[in-house]
Amino acid sequence: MRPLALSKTMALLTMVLLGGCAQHSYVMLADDANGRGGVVLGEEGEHRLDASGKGMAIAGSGQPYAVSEMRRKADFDKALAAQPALPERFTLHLTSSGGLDDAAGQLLDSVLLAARRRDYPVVTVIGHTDTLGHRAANEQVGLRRAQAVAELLRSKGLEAMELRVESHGERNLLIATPDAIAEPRNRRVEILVR
Amino acid sequence: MTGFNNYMRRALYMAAAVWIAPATAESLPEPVGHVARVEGAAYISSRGYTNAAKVGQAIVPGVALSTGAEGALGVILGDGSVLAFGPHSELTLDDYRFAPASDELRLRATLSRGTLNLIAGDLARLDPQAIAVDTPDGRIGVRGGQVLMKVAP
Repeated sequence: MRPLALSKTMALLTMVLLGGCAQHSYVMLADDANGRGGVVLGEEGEHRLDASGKGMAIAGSGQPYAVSEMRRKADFDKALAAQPALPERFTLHLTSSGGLDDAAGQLLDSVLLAARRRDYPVVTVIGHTDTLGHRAANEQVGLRRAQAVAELLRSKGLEAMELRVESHGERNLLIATPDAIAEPRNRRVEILVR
Repeated sequence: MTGFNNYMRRALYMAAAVWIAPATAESLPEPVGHVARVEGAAYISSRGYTNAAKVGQAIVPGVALSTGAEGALGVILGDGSVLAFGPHSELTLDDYRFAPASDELRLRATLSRGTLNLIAGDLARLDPQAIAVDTPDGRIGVRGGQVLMKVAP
């Protein structure tokens, strides 16, 4: 009688524990992206998650806890499996004269290949500048750089559902600098294949 | 003849002026992403119409994305952020802007049920406060990385 009662109690306890967990709404940080990732909760953002594998109730009253592998699998297996092929990024650096360097040809070929691997590729060409010069002028410079690269991609026979040409001007720096600083590494054209 | 031509031209201009304004106001907003993966029952609702989601389909701000019992859906947005949903999920993309040149960086969405696997793209790198997902239990700010959220029924 006693062992049976005990196993019943255990079974009930397990159900309550699992059921309790399964019932509440929570968030977990699966990958902290080398310390750059994180989650904030609460009106003032007073609750934080910044370690991979940690979770917290969305209501935000509790402490962060380690989410078990079993829990994570049960809750997120399907959402993780639904993840599409991640976007691929390519960066073309410009020479001091504003042209493309020797490695550019090969890089553009990899862009074409990446697009070919996808069923409905969307390719975005984004021009960037450093912070030297006026902001509005830099947006135009970035756009011209992006247009030139998009033209090259077209001439190489890029097949994409959509080819977008954009400029972030001086507002998306690879190397953070104050305003009015010449920084060759910030003069670049980025290609996102998604 | 000339008078008639002038009259016609004026009439056409006026018709054009009257006709263009509402057409512009009602034209679809610029796509901000696209559907990259669909399995089973997955839907996109826009302006009161709900259709089965298709790979390659454009996503615009304001759409609702949902999945059924065995459904799964994956979406890639303009900044490279990825949203992937498990079954029985529903999310409305309330607002999305990725325009660093004009300092507009935001992703606002409401997850009303189900599970979301969110991989933050350039938005979060440029502004750690750009991405936020509202749920019935409160707001989740995503500063970067890969975040999994579950809204229990």
